[in-house]
Amino acid sequence: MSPAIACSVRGIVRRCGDVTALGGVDLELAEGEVVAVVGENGAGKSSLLRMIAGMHVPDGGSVEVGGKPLAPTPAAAIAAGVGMVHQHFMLAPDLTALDNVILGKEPTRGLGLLDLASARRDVAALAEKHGLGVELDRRIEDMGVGERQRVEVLKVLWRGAKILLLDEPTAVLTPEESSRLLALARSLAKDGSGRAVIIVTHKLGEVVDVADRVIVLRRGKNVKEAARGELDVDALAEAMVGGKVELPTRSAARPDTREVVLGLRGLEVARPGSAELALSIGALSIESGEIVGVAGVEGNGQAELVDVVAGLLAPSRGEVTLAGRDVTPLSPRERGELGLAVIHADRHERGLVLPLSIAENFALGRTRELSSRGLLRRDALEAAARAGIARFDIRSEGPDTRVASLSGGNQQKVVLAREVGREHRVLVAAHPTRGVDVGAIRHIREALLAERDGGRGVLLISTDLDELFALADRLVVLYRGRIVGEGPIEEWTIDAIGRLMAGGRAESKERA
Amino acid sequence: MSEATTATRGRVADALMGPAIGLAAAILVGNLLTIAVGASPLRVWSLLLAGTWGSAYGIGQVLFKATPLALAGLSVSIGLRAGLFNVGAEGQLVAGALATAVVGAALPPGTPAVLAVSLAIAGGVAAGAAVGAVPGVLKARFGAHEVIGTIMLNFVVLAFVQWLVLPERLGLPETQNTASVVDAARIPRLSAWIPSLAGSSASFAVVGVVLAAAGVHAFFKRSRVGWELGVLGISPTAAAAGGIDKGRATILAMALAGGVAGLASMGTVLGFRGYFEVGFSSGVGFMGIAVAMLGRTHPAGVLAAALLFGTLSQGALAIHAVVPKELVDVLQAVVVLAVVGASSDVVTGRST
Repeated sequence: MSPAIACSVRGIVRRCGDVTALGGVDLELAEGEVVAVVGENGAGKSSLLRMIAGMHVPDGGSVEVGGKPLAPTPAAAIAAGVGMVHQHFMLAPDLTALDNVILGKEPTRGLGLLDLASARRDVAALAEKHGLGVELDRRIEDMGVGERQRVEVLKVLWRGAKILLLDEPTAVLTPEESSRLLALARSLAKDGSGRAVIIVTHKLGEVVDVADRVIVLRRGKNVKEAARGELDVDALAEAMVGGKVELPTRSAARPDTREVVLGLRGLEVARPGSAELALSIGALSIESGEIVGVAGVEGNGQAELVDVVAGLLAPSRGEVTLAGRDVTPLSPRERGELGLAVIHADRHERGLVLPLSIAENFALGRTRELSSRGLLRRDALEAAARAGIARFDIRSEGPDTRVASLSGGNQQKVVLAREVGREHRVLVAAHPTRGVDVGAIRHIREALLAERDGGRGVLLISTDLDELFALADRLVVLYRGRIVGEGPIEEWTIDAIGRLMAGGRAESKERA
Repeated sequence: MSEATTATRGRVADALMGPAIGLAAAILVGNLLTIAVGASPLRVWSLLLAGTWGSAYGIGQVLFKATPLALAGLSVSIGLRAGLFNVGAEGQLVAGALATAVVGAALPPGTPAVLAVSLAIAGGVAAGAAVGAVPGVLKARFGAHEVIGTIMLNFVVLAFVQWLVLPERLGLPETQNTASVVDAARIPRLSAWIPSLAGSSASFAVVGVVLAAAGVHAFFKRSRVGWELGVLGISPTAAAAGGIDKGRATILAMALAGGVAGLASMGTVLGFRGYFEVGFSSGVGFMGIAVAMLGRTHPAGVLAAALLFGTLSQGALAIHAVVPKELVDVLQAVVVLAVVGASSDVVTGRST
């Protein structure tokens, strides 16, 4: 007798404009089972989860939960026992953990009065039962990412979810936090409560340990399925990208000329409403012809570092030098003219103007260079766009294509082409390969290495340690806004980085 | 290539959706109200059309009424394109009108006509730009929201202008008027060239409106500064990352918006009355907000919307015998509400 089916998805289709996010995906989930859905960015993993969570109306196919068709609304999905932990947490930052957990299902007594005492008791018991260490009276904004995520999980359990959907849950966690979360996911499914878990990820290594079954999606279709025990990471990787892909790595040789092109000294950035500094860097310099990697769990000062260098955030103390010149008081435009190119982490908010064409996006930050007598030179814009399209194989209808209609990878290639296409000496690249397909990753890596080999300095911020090992000459680790480790890449191991990323907590825990 | 044009066509169709819904809603409500007061909708609509587009005189009057509406609408649309809500077109327009009249009256009688008209208009633009720049500076320096700044400044400007036009200062005795502008500063009536328009108040200011619309279009599409303002309106974060100085851009956009509003009364002051009179604008600056929204902030759309509102405003006189002319106010309100409801991105300045 096989366990009951918790959820079944049949031939689900979802289109966004001209793009087919899901082209007939099937998925079956039994009670007590952990299924991992893997695939590249844009393969349709998150879309599939949102379908089950009732957030999207399918353009075809069906979703059944507990044997009944699911109405495509979030409320119906929650009522049917579906609970989703989003990649970007959906918590109210200025409320406490307890408030956030009970929000939407608040216990009341008589006349609709909140019964906070019983809420606290019950939530604490629930957290205890599942080993979810959460300080219930702490406000979300004061919490680290790992604890916030535990609040999300607790919230989902509080609502009595039978089907847990975890969307890229480990993307923001340290290696140690990740393994704890995955163990939790497994125990939630295996504790005999009839719960089932779907985990979406693109990190293959971690699913092998946790999943009963793995489903591989590519371009919105099922391409492979494997049960626990017959999992082969290499075969899964190949299925994900549709063939073998060799990603470039740096060559041993470095260009000879070495001068400091970007320098940070005594830099401090205050955190609004807090005594703790958001960023505090004694000294960091990037030489020509090298890639300096910045590792760390997201939210440990990376965003402030990029903004201070770009000129979008004024440091409370310290200075930024560009090719030996103090640029601390200069605006982003002036820094750009002095040779700073920046690939911002959020291409939708910062890197691109989505409703405009590729050609117009090439003007962003380069308008002076690309205009004469106050008029934009449309021909120069178009030429720059055409060159970028050719060099980076940007898939589009041409320079007039709206950037909003491009895939994530091609959008990122537009940003990359624009930034390396201008005259510059330093490139700051913040999470340049996030959310893009492997083809684009190859282009981006090649471009970063070409920058280095061409004698420019590169500051590469990434949470992907494999990427840092493949590209960086030197590595620094950021923790709570401070550099807690620095050295040539050869001297680092993944374990050592992981420990520093966690603030050394991994070690102290073992001792305790 | 063909796919790109299809996409463009799709976007144009999307943009026209809101105005189409607005018009349909207005016609429906108009019918219901007409029936409610016991009149025949068909008769009302045919009177309205006959009184406007049914005769050369009517067309001339529609153009005359559309002139300030279009320029006020352009002013508001400049703000919206740059992500700013200029609710101060009324004050900018009144300041511009007074400056136009004062400059026009102060010119020596022998001034060549082209120069005289240009100087009078330039005076209006400068005054409007100065009034517009104030909330821009307040926003750039102190973060004061431009909606508050522009609304409040309207009251200040209107009161100040009223004080200026008192007889002991700029006004003529026992009136609320300024002195008449010199003949050279008058914009000729259109009827000088098109005799059938005789009797209508339409002047060559109409040509100025079309030029202004084309100028605004070219400014946003072709010029570096205009393009940067447009980026600021679409994505302030990308603009900041792209090195666009938000403070300067804000002041510039508000000054430009004010300048165009300062132009708005040229048809009334130089082409019709020949002087400034307190209270002459009767809220045209506020109507400009509706015109800009109905026109989806596109200069061509603004011209079309101004023609529609000009038609309604002139048509109100024609239907007054059958239904209260306030029906037109209701129709205008319905159009605006429906357009805003059907296209919320106009207000928030965002489209995904």
